[in-house]
Amino acid sequence: MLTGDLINTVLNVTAFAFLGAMVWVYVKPSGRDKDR
Amino acid sequence: MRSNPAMLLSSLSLVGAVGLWGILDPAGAVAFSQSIVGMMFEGRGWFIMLTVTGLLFFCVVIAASRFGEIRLGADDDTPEFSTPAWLAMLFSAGMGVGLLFWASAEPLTHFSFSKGYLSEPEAASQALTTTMFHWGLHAWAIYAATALCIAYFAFRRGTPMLMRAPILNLFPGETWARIVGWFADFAAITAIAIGVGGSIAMGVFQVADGVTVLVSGDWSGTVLTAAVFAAIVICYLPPLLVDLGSGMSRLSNLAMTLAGFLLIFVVLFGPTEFLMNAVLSSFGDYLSQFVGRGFQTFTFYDDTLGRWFKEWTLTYMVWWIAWGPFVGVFIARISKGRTIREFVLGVLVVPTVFSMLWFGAFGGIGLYDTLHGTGGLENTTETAIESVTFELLARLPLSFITTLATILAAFLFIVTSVVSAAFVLGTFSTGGNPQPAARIRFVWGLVLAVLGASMIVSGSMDAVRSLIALGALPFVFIIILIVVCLARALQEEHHADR
Repeated sequence: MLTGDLINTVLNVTAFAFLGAMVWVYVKPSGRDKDR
Repeated sequence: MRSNPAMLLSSLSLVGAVGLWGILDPAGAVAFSQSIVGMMFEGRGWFIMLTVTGLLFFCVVIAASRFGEIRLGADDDTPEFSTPAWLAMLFSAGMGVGLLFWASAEPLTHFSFSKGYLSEPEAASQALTTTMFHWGLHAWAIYAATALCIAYFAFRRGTPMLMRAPILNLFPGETWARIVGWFADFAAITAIAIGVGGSIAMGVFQVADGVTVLVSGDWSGTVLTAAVFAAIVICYLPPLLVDLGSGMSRLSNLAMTLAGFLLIFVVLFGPTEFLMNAVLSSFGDYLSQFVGRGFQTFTFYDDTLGRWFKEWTLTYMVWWIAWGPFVGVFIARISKGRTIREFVLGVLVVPTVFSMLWFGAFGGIGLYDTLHGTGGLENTTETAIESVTFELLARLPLSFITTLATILAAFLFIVTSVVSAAFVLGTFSTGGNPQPAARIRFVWGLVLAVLGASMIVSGSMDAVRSLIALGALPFVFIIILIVVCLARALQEEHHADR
């Protein structure tokens, strides 16, 4: 049960972290932006 | 064009190993995939529904906004295909063997289940609406979003048609983008291979059952299934070694035409008034419910309904995601020169309307039999789900011809899908080469045969669906990532224009 809860928590954190990473990808300046 | 031996070898090895595992230890492979998929679905159904609904929202907003006027190509490009030809090809992309398999079986299965919660008329209406939800706008939004990303970057920015292209184009030279891009292509290959393997299995189940209906005799199920499987593999391997030009698209159009005739036949020779009423009312129900259903996770209901949601709605959505890169590349290829608005309208609306007519008619006739006839079809969904379409046709005139047409259409859908899939897999695994070498296509054809065989020996559609879901799960993340890249690229283009 404990292992199941742990895996579940890790997966939830991954899902939220991924959504956060997508915001970062959207706003992050790229190499091309820096060249401009 | 840079070849990509690491991608080719690693993807072939992984997918081939999955196929061999499925053949040598089918029970173990299915149990493993069910436990992983179960774990993902158990707590993260919201993530999958949010993704799919988000993709639909994205497509609609992009099409309605100023970005809708952007052309997939140079600003003065014109569409490569006429609109009717383009729409017909979209149909054929979405008209897979699944529509033949699930035509009546799915609405009837939902009807049996819904009777536990609703009155019979409500359950019948809900059965059709739910099937339309599974095959409607949300499913096509997955294809539209994937295809739009591929087409925009390929035709406006000159990238190869690969999943990593949007990422590498926006973040050139960045290490994280190279690593994620590599995994994007890898996830796409896995999703396509396992998804198409599942379709081979589904097609073999259906064609084998059709043959037993046509040629009555003392058939051993295993021998017949093996014979049908061998016939399909023998038919699709030779075309991989030669360039057939438009030959494959002609076969695919023939399969489409057969399916179209079947639909017209069922409407005309079945209880026409009942069917047209069923199509119309379920279409209305779908329109009034599809937004809410896109956010519905059945969290406040009992465990049985929760399980049904995972086994059907979530599994379907992941299934479409599995097919996303394959159908996406196909749709992107034929859509050069169209504006984003035209593209989204065509890809979302037209195939959805066709699916509604299809399920309204086939599902309607199954429900007619249940509500006003013998009810035999409903029982068949529990005993032999692959037989439902043929049992339905047996209740109409000229059943020998319609059964033969269904078998032929299923056969052609599988053969043309596998040939196209082997091409796309060859392209993805060789760094974007649009004409991968014949031997690479052939090897992918063999790997798809191994995967198909492994899904056939798993023995049931439930097992096949959980294996497909397992293959597609990593791609859920990739599809979100490339859509974010597209949103960013469109913003960049807008700022550059100002």
